[in-house]
Amino acid sequence: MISARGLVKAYPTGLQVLAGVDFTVSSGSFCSLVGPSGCGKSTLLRILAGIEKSSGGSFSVELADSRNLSYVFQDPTLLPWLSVAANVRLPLELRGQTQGQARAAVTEVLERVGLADFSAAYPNELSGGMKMRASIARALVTRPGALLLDEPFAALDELARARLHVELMNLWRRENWTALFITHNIAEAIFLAERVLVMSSRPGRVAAEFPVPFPQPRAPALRSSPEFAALAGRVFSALEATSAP
Amino acid sequence: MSRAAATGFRRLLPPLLTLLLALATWDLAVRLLDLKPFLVPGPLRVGRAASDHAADLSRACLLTGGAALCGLAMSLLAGFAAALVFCQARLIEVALYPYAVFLQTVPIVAIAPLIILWMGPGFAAVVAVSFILSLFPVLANTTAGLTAVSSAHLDLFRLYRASRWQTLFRLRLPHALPHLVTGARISSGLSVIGAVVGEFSAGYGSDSHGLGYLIIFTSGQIKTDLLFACVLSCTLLGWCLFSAVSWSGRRILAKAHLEPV
Ligand SMILES: Nc1ncnc2c1ncn2[C@@H]1O[C@H](COP(=O)(O)OP(=O)(O)OP(=O)(O)O)[C@@H](O)[C@H]1O
Ligand SMILES: [Mg+2]
Repeated sequence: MISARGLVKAYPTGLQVLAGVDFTVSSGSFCSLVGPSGCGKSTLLRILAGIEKSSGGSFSVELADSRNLSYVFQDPTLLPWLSVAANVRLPLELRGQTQGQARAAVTEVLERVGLADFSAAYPNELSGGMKMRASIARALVTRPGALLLDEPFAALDELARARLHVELMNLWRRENWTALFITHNIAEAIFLAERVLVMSSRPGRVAAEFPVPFPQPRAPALRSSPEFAALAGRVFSALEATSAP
Repeated sequence: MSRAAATGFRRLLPPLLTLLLALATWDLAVRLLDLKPFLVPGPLRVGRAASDHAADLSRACLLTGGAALCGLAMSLLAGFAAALVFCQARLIEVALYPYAVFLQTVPIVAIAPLIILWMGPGFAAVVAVSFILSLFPVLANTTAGLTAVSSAHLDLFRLYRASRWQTLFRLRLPHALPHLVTGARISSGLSVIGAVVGEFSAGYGSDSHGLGYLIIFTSGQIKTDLLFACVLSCTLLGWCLFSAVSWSGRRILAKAHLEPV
């Protein structure tokens, strides 16, 4: 479970970024977060991940069986001097595992994200979508209990994005981590999640919340159904209302 | 002709033509303007002086080159070590870096006699001057490489609670390698200049002379053609060292899958 109560963040520059964020993502569920640019979405994820300090309020990330929290950054942030396999292995090695101990886990996760044939390739030899897959594999290799994703597909074309949506959903249904997924794209937010949170413009709070009733697994055709369009319209209105100047 | 040889030839042709053109212009200018040989000797005269003193010149090149190589090696070691210390604590960097800049601004020609006074003339003193002159680029570039890692990568390491050593060995050092190579390339030319300047004030002994000594000696004797040959030898030496460092740097970076900066 990931939850925040009255989470506040002001940067030393004096900029008030988060003004009391409240939400709960229950264990094993997939939640999307949409919000206008600069409203503090990345800041929120960084605080949840322990990379950034909050200035007030509280949050908790509860993980079963001492599993960890992983983070898929907005950019793939692969190390260019490491092969795909070595990049994916990095989190395990930082935990003290040897190459041999990590091998099975790396092979398995690369297979799952469809990069088995590219384990020896280097990041500059990969397409944008493949880099993102490698980045997701790196986040999954530690068998996380929760996954934070920060606009992971923003730089991809429509087709690659749709493919990765299906793959991400398959991975999620299989491994059932708790997911908090940030995006600018309302259709993406709805298609992936069981719940969509709408954040207000800076200083950010959670302004609205929409349950997504469509059953899993979802087919790509869902995007063109009238129910989907209606929900997208409501999310859009909520977003528009909170970010009115 | 094989394909590799053909492309190599095509790569070499333009600089070779430039060289020929420059030599021809030089020769023509000397003839047409009727310049005195002791002021500006023509290329043929310089070539003759070089071949007459081939043994002296090549021995001098070896000595100067050896001193420069030692100075450069010391710069690489010391610059790298100091950069490692700098990147570990911001306080140390802030406290010491301004003084490291002195290395860059100190008038080496004035300092060289002092160093020789302290260390006594000889190979070690020449190496020391070469070392001082070539240290800063390695130090500055490596420090920049170690500290200027992207914040996204630092976040990644922080996320997995990487230790300071893990971050140093797995992130900072690989990131700094291309910067170190750049520093070494700049330093390679400077190390030759440093060795020559060192030799201006310090000889190696009675009958082994470096290029710096030959330059002072020949300019005192107004043997302008030999002076030209010495200066060209210095330039060629620096060029060789620079090319060797660049080539090995490129090889190392390619092997490590790193982009040159
Ligand atoms: N380290 C920092 N110091 C000062 N201000 C910062 C810092 N990081 C971010 N900010 C500011 O905080 C605000 C929120 O940034 P954040 O990256 O969280 O926005 P975001 O919602 O993720 O935006 P986007 O959708 O464009 O990625 C921005 O106005 C940004 O300028
Ligand atoms: Mg962001």
